[in-house]
Amino acid sequence: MSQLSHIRNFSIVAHIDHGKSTLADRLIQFCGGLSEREMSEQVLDNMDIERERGITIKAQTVRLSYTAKNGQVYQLNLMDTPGHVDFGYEVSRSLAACEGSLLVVDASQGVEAQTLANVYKAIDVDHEIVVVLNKMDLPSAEPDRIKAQIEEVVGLPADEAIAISAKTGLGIDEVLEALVHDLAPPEGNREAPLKALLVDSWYDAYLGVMTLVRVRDGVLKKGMKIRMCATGATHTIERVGIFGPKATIIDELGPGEVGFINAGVKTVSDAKVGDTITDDRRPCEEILPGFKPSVPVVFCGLFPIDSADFPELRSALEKLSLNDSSFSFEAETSAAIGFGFRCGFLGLLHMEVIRERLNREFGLELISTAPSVVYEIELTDGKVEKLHNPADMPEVTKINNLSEPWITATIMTPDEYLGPVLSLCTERRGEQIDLTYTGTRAMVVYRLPLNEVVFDFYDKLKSITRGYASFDYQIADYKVGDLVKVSILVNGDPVDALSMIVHREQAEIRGRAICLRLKDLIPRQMYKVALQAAIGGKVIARETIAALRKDVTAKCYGGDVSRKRKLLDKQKEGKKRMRQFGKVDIPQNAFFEALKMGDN
Amino acid sequence: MPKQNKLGVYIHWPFCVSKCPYCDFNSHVEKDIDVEQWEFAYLSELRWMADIYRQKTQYPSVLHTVFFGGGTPSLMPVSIVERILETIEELFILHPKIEVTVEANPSSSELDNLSAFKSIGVNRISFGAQSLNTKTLNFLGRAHDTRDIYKALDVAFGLFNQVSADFIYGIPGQNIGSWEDELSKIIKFDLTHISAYQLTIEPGTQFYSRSKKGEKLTCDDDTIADLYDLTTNVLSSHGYEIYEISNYARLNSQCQHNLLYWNAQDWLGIGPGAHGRFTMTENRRWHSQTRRSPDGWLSSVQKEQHGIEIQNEDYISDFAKEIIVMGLRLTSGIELPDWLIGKSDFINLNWLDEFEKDGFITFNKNHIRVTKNGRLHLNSIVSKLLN
Repeated sequence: MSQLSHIRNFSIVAHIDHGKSTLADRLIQFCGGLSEREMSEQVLDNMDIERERGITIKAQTVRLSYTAKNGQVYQLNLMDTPGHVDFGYEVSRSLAACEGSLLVVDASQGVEAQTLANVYKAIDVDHEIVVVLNKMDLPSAEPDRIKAQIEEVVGLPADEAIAISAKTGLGIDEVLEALVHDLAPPEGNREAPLKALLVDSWYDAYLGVMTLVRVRDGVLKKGMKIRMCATGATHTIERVGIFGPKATIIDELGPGEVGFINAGVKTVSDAKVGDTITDDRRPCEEILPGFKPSVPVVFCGLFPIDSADFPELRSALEKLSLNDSSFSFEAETSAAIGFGFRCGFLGLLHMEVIRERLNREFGLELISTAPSVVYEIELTDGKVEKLHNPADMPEVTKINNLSEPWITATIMTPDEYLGPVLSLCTERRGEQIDLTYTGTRAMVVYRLPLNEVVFDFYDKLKSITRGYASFDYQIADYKVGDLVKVSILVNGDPVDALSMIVHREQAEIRGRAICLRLKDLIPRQMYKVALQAAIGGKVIARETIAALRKDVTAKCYGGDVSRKRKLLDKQKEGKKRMRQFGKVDIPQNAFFEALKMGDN
Repeated sequence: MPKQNKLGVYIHWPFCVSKCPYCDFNSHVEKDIDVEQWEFAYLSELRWMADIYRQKTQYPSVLHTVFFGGGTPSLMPVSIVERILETIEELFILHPKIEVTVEANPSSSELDNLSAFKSIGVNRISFGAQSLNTKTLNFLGRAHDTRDIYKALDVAFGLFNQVSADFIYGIPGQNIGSWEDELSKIIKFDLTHISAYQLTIEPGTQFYSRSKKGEKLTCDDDTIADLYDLTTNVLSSHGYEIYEISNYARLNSQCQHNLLYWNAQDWLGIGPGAHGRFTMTENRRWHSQTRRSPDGWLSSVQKEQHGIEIQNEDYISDFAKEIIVMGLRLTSGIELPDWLIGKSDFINLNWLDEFEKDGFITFNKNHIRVTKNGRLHLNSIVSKLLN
């Protein structure tokens, strides 16, 4: 173990793509944590998806042993954090386990929306901040302009910002020296009762439930009986270790140190993130403040295209949730598209990541319903209910009012795109809070209803700014809105999977779009098919699929009858994939396609 | 004992001069045919089939129809047709009004055979005319032209009382005007029977592969429906009553043989790829299917006296399906046997009710019939009634 004075715990915060994970890799390499041979690009991003998309989803931790220029050896605990807004809760957790942060800013792109969001989180928890300008090897790097921007927009002194290139290794030694000299060492008392923060927990196929901890006071050792303060459950420590970045068993974790324990905890949910771990025989007096639990804000239905895959989908979701307690799922049945699950996510990226993992790691072909937010319904009897699924909306007569979540969104954009960005926000019912310029970049802050953002806001924003805008948001509050449920009816029967909650002003446009889409997808039939979008009993859009006028086999003689009969048997088979609406049978596929097109 | 079924014999001649791009029938282009071997094979299988019919039913073998189909049976050596008809006479009791049909192409080379066919007992001729429009004939890849049709019908009317012709409509570019024009020419022939088929793209044909590649080979659905209605109206006003989806006849000129199929009666199927059906007792039906390949069939018959590939007793549910599938094609509908209607597991009674309410079907006691409105939706109706 190290002296407290020789320990530094730090996070790296940055906007997505500003080179955070590459810097982490470079630091590990510099300190000899991995040999050249073992270095693969971005060692801390374990999942395929993380590596491919260049995003970090799970916070990772690694202990470095750094011999400083003064000859002393320091223990540096690095917590790599996700840069994406959906995983902001991971950032907060990591920050709580550290005393300082490295703020990484791309030397040509400058401050982006998530730079701000993440650095403010670090400032909020009183971190010392070391500013680093990355990607100095690029010809487009403009360190002076970016330094000025950091001072102006973020409000941090930047004249001593370290110019580095994580790619080439330039300035890495300076970063390490700054960590040692600029960040405060942790505080703690080795003799005091054990008090450790449960930073994260996950399931490892070989080691079982892993618990990542930051010790405040006392010591964690193998064989100790510990108590989880939130649940009161006790466990005996089987193993104490650190990541270097490979998991390595050590004797103990003392004050200020970060590492993992295995303690015979059965499921991840028994190791609550943010809980305080203490010694069962000599418990600490106060517990640590913990974290706000992360709650899903975006919901959608996930349905297997082949209904036979339903049990597999359930087991896949169970497996994924072992390591990601932030998403929720419960079984859902749709008359139109069969059996599936209603799933809750932290945001759209989180939703996409889970869907992609289900497809890649479990080989499941899925269809998802349009994403929806969580509404609050005040019923006429005074009760307030949360609504995750438009299909579950109570009758209008029982509703006093409907509230929707609003967000505070920060958008940074080159000023040439400011006009389109402002009209996009206005179109989406946004209310402007702030608009500032630094150089040629504008920062706008808007209040926006989240349901307008989950629809296709990201994509629109990206396309109108050619990918140059960045976006971050925080859930602000709930506000009563003029919201209506638009049902899509086929021959008078509602198609549950297609219903949606939208603002009254957009109801007609959105409803008509779906009717038109279905009109193209549903084959003509013996009876005409009426497609309607309706608010309650009031039809707001209508399309009709005319009846097929002739559907009869021209020739059928003695030699054709067996074939005709087999064709009928085949149709009977195919009927399993049909959904009956009044007198018409509609291929389930038409609804799948309608939902798929909604993705684009 | 239930009412005795009517019995017919179907003879399949699998050869053509050329293969038409829309045709999915079992037809092959072959130059050298060993007449003796083929004759022997037809006669062997015929005897074998007559035998099994007698073994499995208790009916006296009264024969109502004989139908030579193909292929192009008018290309058959007359000697084979003659020997077949002689053998039939020996094996069955012939109904006094027996109908003996030969399908023919209206090409000049085949006309010489017509009078010979008549002299050996053929009394009905059915021409594959297909169109009176040169462009359409070319599109359909027919070997004859319109003049051949006029000549052939002229010869046929001199020989036979019953003359039928097949026509095809619904090809790209066709419209009400052009089809009406063609219909008015068709009427002038004074045929006793007309079959008018909507062009259908069948798997395994040249048209099928072309349409898979994106070529449009039929006109659109709504035009087809218009052409169908037009056909029925024009022919009806000239004394041709529709009696089946695609078949029209003057009084007493319906094709007796094809009615056996639609009424779920009995027929023996002789020759390559022929199907046969007959009822053993009330709801037990026997069914046979011979090998499709001409050579394969020939060698089977030489070894075993028959070229049957599949023979079995149909499941009762399959029999029920066939009765409905075929019977509802007739404008007169069919009388459902008690065993079929008594058990609702064969027919979806809810749909039966719905269709009756919607005016697509009439149902009275055991008699079921599809109305004029229902006729155009027959595939959906049958599919819903049976599922």
